[in-house]
Amino acid sequence: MKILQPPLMLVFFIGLASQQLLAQNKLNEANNKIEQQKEIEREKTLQKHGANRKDIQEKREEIKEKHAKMKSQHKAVYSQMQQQAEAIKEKMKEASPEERKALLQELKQLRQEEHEELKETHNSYKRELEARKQILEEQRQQSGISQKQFGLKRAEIAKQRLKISQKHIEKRQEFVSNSQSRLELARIKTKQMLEDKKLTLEDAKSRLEKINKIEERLKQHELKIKEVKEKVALKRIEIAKQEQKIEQIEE
Amino acid sequence: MKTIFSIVFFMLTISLTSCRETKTEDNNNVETAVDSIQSIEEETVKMVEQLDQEAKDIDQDLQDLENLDQ
Repeated sequence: MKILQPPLMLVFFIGLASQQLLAQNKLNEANNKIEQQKEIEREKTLQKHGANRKDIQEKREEIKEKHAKMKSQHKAVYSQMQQQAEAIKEKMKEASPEERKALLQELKQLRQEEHEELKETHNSYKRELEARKQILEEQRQQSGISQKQFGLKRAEIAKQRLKISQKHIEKRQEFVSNSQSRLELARIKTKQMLEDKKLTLEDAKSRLEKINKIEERLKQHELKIKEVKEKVALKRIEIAKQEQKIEQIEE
Repeated sequence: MKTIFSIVFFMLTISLTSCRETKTEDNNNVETAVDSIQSIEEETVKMVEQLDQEAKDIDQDLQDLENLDQ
């Protein structure tokens, strides 16, 4: 029995070692299989993302294209309206008082149409914003950005746009001072023409009335600029508040 | 033992549900904030466009006035 013990032990250990080797092999095989599966899945995901990205890109291009088309259409309509207005004004120079009245009415209507056009532009901008929002949401979902990060990014974009608007409003102020100088010049010219008897008293009076009317409108416009400036500043504060709200939310 | 286990399970379920609810609420809050930001932006654009249109009209009238001399 004692003689048999060592060989038996040896056989036992060899068996144990081979079993361990077999187990190791199986483990390796399983690991390889998992790796292969992962690789396949990764490729599939990459393909899917690529297709989605292409889809989003196409959508974005489509919106851009539509917007550009709409803009050029509006531009064409607007320039046509301007031409019509010019033609009416030309006609007004040689028209009788009654005809002038009718032409003025026509001009008014044309301006009304212009305002409608502006309204339509604004609505299309709204639609574009909506589409852009949808794309951003799709992008957010794909890139795995959290709602919070997305919101913060949106707030940043809005702040930049408002900054641009503020700069634009400041330029409007320049327009007011330029127009004031132009009006002053027109007033001096009218008086000069009256002195030189190039204008009748009636014509000079009517011109001065027109100058005063435009001046009044300009004053109103200046007030409105101030008002809009203040409103935009408040809007910036509102955006900052919304941004703060988003920041407070936990990811 | 069974009772303790069921209590723990119950508590876990409640905490998970409330966590999910908070997450949904947070997402809704962000969405509302983003919507507000968007409408603020829109209102600003509208105001600036109106201002532009008004300026354009005034400029046109001024041009008409200046053209009277020519």
